[in-house]
Amino acid sequence: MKLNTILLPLLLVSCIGTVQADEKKAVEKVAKAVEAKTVEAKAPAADSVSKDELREMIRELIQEEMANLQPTSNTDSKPVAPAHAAKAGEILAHTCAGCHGTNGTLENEAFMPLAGMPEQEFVKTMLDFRDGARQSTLMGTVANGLSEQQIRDMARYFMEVSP
Amino acid sequence: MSLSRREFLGLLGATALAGAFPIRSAFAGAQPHVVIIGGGVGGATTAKYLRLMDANLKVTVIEKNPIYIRPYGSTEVLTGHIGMDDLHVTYDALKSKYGVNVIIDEVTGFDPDKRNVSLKGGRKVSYDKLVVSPGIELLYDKIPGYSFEVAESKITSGWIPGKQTALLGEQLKAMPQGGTFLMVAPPAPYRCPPGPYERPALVAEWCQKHNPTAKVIIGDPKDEFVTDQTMMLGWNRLYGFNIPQKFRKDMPASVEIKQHSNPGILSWIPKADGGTPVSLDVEKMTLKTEGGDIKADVINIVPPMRAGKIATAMGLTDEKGWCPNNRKTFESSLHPHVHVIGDACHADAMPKSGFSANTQAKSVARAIVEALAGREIPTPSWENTCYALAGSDYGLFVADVFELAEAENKIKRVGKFSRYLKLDATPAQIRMGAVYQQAWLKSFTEDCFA
Repeated sequence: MKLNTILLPLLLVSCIGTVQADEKKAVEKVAKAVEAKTVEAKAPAADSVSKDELREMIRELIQEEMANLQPTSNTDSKPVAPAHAAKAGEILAHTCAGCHGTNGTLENEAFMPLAGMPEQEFVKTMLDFRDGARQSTLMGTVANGLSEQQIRDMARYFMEVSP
Repeated sequence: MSLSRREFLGLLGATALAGAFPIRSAFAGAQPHVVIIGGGVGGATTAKYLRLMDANLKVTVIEKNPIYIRPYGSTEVLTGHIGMDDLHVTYDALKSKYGVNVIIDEVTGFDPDKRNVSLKGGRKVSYDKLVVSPGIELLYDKIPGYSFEVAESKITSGWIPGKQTALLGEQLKAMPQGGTFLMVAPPAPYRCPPGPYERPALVAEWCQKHNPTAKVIIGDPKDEFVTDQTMMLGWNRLYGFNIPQKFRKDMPASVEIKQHSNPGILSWIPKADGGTPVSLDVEKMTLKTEGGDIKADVINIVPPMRAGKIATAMGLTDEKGWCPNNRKTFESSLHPHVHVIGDACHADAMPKSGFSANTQAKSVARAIVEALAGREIPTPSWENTCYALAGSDYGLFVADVFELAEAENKIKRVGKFSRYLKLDATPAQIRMGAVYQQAWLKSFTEDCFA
C-alpha cells in the first residue's frame, strides 16, 4: 500500500477534532502539500509501515508536540515579536534581586525595595557605600565592585520599575 | 518499522502544516523552545527570567522531583529552628505566573545533533537551546568505608538535603550527654563554601543549651576556608574557640579576641594537624584521619563532589568532573547549544553557591534571548553573596561582584574591598548580618521560584 493513501485519510481524521470549520481550506491545502511531499520523497521504505503504526506515529507526534507547548504560551495567531534587548543597567540590576527582589520589588521588610527609587537617592546611597561614607554590613563590598557609570545605569533602571 | 518518527516529521514538512494545526508553532519552529534540565536554583531562575525577558519563548523545565528541597539554610532543621517542610519549594508559581512548562520526569537520553532529550516516561523533547543545571553528585565512596547506603541509614551527609537531613536532626537530639559530634569538611571545590563551618557552629549553639558537655569537632582536609577569620571570631566569642596564631596575626588590634584557658565546645582540626579523613569504620563510629582515630556519637560527612550525574551522563564534564564552558554564555565547550550553569560548571572566582547559580542563570537567560533574536550578546555581570551564621544572632558573609575577562575566558572578582564582614564589625553589624541572613532565605527563594 502506498504511503499517501494511508496518510491522507489518517491526517484528515486526526485533524477533524482540532480544526475549525473555517479552516477546512487549510486542511485541504495541507493534504495537498503532504501528497506533493510524499510523491516528491517517493518514500520507498514507507511501504512497510502499517496503518496502525502510522496512526500510532501521528498520535505520538501530536502528543509530543503538545507536551512541548507550555500551558499558557502564546498559541494564538499573534505575530511573534522579537524580545527587547537588555536595557542599560538591567543586567547589573538583576544581580541585586537575590536580596532586593525581582526587579527590586520586595515585600520583605529587611532589605530596601529598589523599584521606583528616585535616581539620585540610589546613586548617592551607592556612592556613599562605595566610598565608605556610609556604614554597612556588605553593601560597601558590593558597591566597591561597581563603577559610577554602572551605578547610574542601575539607578535609571530601577527608577523606571513600578514598585 | 523502517520509517522513523523524525523522518516522518520531516516528510510532513513543517511549512505545509503551518496554519492548519493549533500546534503549528511547534511544528513550524516559530516559537523557539528552551529546555532546562534541573529545577533547582539555577534551572528555576533561568526559566523564570527567560519568560520575563521574552514572553514568546517556550520554556520547559525537566525535573525528577515534584518538590524542590532547598539546601541553603537546611542546617536550621538540625537545630529545630525550622522543620523539613520549611525547606519545600513548589513549582506552582513557575507554572501559573510565568507559564513555564514543568515536566516531572528523568532524562535518560540525549541527542546533541538532533537537539532532543529522551525521558524515562517515554517522551522525547526537542530544543533550540538546552540549559543544564544539575547541581552536584556526592562521591561518598571516595572515603573508604563510606557509601550512599551508609549515608542514608547511619552516617549522614545531607549536603543534598532530604531524608538524611531529618535523620541527622534526630541523631543530634538523641546524642548522649557529653557525646561527640564530628563534622567532616570536604576538599575544594565544593558547594556552599561557609556551610561545613556554619553547621558545626549551629550544632555547638544547640549543644550549649541541650547538651552542654558535648564536643563538636571539625575534621578538615584543608588549612583554610572561605570566611575563616570571621567565622573563627564568631566561634571564639560564642564557643570558647581559640583562634590559631596563623589567623590572628593580621587582625588589627581593635578586634576583640578572647583567650580561653579551657578548651571550648568546638574545635577545628585542619589538614596540617592531621584533619584529612582517611577511612571510616561504620560499626565502631570511628573516622580514621591522618592525625589518628576520632570516635564520635554522631558523624556528619561532606564528601568530595563533582558535577551532577546527568552532566556526566550527557558527556558535559571534563577530567576534573566539572563542566567546561564559554564564560560569557556558559555554553558548553563540549556540546553546542547546551549551557551548563550552577555548581556543576567551571566558573573560576565564582563560588559554588545558590547565589552564583542565580546570577549565572540570569546572564545565560539574556545570552539565549539575544542569540535567538540574532543580536549581539551583551557583557554579563555576576554577583555572589553567601550569608552564614556563627550563631543564630551572629551573621557573617562573603560577597563579590564579578566580571568577565573575555580574552582569557575567565571570571574575575572586581573591587578592592574585603569580601568578608569587617574583622572589627560592631555588634550591631553582626546582629544585622543574622537578620539579613534570615531575610535572604525568603527573598532569594522568591527571586528563583516565585
